[in-house]
Amino acid sequence: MEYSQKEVLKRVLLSLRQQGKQSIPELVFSTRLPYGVVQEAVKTLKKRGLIRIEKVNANPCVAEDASSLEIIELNE
Amino acid sequence: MPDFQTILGCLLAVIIAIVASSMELMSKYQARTIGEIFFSPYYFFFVLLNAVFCTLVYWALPYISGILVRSEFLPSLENPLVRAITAGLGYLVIARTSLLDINIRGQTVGIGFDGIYSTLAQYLLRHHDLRLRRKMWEDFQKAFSSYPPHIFLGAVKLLMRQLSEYDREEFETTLARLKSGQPKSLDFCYGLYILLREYTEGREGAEAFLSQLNEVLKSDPSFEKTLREEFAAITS
Repeated sequence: MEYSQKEVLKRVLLSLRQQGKQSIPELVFSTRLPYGVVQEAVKTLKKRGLIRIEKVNANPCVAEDASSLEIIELNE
Repeated sequence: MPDFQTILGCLLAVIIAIVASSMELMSKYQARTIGEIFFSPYYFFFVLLNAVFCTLVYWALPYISGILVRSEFLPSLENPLVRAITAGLGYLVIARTSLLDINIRGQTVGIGFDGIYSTLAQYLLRHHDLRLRRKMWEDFQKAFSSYPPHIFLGAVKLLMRQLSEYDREEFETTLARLKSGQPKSLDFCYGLYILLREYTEGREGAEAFLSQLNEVLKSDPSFEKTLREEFAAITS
């Protein structure tokens, strides 16, 4: 299924505005968009300076890169 | 000083209002347990907000009844039961009333009661949502530090076999969304965990599936190898 970039960005931004900061997997559930599409949208929004990304570590026993979850928040 | 019947009527109206507003949350968080949804300070203040607006409407009903009910029903409002039901079910009409709608960054904001009610309700519901998500993340962290990543995929597959045909269709669609675009291993696991929680009873339900699969894999190394390879092929 094809998704227009404008529509995808709008859905991601709306979800962040209504439900607050979220990780990419959470955005998959709230926007009902595929992971890859959300990931691309997040990259675009970051480039445009509309969002900021914070990393949280899921498991201190595992290397940080492998176990850090990106939390996306609106730049307001 | 209000009489006993008025107080009792007001109490009934507030109970109706609380039940109605709670049903909204129950339909939104169908996958969460009662404790997760209702034992929260944000839910308490949300209930309080609705109770305050409902009480105000109940008190003001004799003066503003023309707005809420048709004129031929006005005499019935003297009956405390009718007044309670009207206030309990109709207080949102007043709470959502705005004198003027203005547009701020694409969002319509009502000036009037709507502005007050919506701002407070949205704030409380948003924080309620954040609290539930933080709890989900904490539960996931515990599971993620206890089981290898491919167990999450196996548990989801095990659960899928037990779902009804109707649920399975939606489940498979969500799983396909999570798989698309070579997700990061952690992201995929977290997505699978959320999916698991959507269809099981709380943290314990998800934990039961994970530990059940963990036991199965201990006695079946070839299945474990297949699952591990499948997980590696999906993730980046």
